[in-house]
Amino acid sequence: MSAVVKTHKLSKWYGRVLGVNDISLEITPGIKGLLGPNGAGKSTFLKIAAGQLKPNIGRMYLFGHDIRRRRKVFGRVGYCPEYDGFYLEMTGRQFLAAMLRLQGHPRATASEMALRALDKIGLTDRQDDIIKTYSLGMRQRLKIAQAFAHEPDLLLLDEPLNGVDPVWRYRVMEMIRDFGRQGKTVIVSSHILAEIESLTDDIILIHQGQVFAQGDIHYIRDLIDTHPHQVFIRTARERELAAVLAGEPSVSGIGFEDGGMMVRTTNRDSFFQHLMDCIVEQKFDVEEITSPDDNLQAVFDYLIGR
Amino acid sequence: MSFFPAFGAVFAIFIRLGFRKKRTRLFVFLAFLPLLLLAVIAIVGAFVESRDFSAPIFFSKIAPTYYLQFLVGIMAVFFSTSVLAEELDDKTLPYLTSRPAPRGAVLLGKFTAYFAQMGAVLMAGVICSFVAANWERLDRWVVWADFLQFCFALLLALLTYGAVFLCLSTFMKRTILFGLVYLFGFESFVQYLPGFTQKLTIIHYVKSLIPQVAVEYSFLVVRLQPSSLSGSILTLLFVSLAFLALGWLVFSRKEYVV
Repeated sequence: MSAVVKTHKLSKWYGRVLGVNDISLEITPGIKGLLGPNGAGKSTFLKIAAGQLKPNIGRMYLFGHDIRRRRKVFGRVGYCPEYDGFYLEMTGRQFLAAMLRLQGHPRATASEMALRALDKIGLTDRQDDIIKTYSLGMRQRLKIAQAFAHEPDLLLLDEPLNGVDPVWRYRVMEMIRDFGRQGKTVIVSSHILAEIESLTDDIILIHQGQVFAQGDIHYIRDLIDTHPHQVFIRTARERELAAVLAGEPSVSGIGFEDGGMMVRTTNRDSFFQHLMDCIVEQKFDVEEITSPDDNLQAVFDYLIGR
Repeated sequence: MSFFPAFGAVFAIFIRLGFRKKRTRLFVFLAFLPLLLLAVIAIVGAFVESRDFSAPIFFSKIAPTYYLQFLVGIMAVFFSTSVLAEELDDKTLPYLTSRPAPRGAVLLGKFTAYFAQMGAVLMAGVICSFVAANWERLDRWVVWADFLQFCFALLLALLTYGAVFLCLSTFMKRTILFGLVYLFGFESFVQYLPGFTQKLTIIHYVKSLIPQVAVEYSFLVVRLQPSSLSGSILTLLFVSLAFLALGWLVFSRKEYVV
């Protein structure tokens, strides 16, 4: 299968701040998750692909064309930026029709396609209201709609689910999956593992501007699962609960801090199963269970330190 | 997508959008302000009889100075710098530049839309004020000839100032401040200097199109040594085209980090 996106030693920096560094990869059709903590370089990568930034070193090719030399290729690309920026005085319908006109569609076709996209994204009822009156979630959906309304072959989505309510989060995910099933290419960035996990198995891990790993998501999931994990529990009977948990093989240490207890585990799934059993069977009144390092940054820190 | 369809699409978007901006409402008010003053003059004139305080005199002396030396410059600074600045401030630039439309078409399409809109607002204000002030003299063709020349000078000034400030805004921050200093600092100062220096300003060529405006009503004596009519028109057109081309070039190549 030929690569839709291909980069060769791609580097970009902003003054002394590194955006992406020496990225060489090939992305084939399907859904590709771009995963990394905030500031990892995901948005920079997508901005270069969308023609918003120029690499300092290296090349990027879309559909075999060098993006610096062939602007026409952007007719096959849909880009959803991360920012909540809009022409607030326009209505939703006018906005989408305008964006479609800029893709080269005649007025009548643009109008029809805009209505279809509005229907798909659930904004038909509000199509003639100005964007200023939309909620954050509605604006986010409109932003996604402008990216796919012209039916591109490559969809670049930068944190597309930010601010979208749970119902529409599910529907947008279904739309993205549909897009992938049509044999098109979607690159979706997120710093939330679960979000990417529900969309695709195929991921690129970016950290400090570099591709850290790529391939099957189960690989990173395994790494996370073996990563020593901390769980903070607050309960009135903390000493009693600590005594019960201490006998569990998955628990590697227990400490007391900030009015609660911090448990370290090497097997998260087994530990949580055991914890739930204890809470239910022995009727512990638990006020709080949080995982301070249940995020990608902690995983990356752990992986780098290995 | 080739240049002209992209230019047309961008123009169509922003000619409509521009009229909904608060800035446009402010300029509508400023363009029609002389009309308001004419109404005041008419009311005062009903009680006080004075040959120096009539509506035609007001329009022929004060209004041209107001439109030519104040409003055109202000309008040009704000509309032309906003072409790019509002895209960056509102983070909407990616919607325009991630499309197959040539970047030059995006910049010039939006500039032309805003220019057309500001020109329409300006002309509406000027025409209404002129008609109201010269209601009893509208049958004299000389009055109309002078007025048309004045309108042409206003539009050419708006285009030239707009092109210059648009170009500067593609690579410079705080273009508004620079523009205001240029308009009300440099240009105001230089016009009192005799010799070649005043030919380094846009206002010199604009005033050369209607030289009588500047000579009579000024706090200081303005030593306008007008250039020829055709020379002034060609200079203003050349400056406009050169700065638009330079702005196009910069915008097509420069990277804007949103």
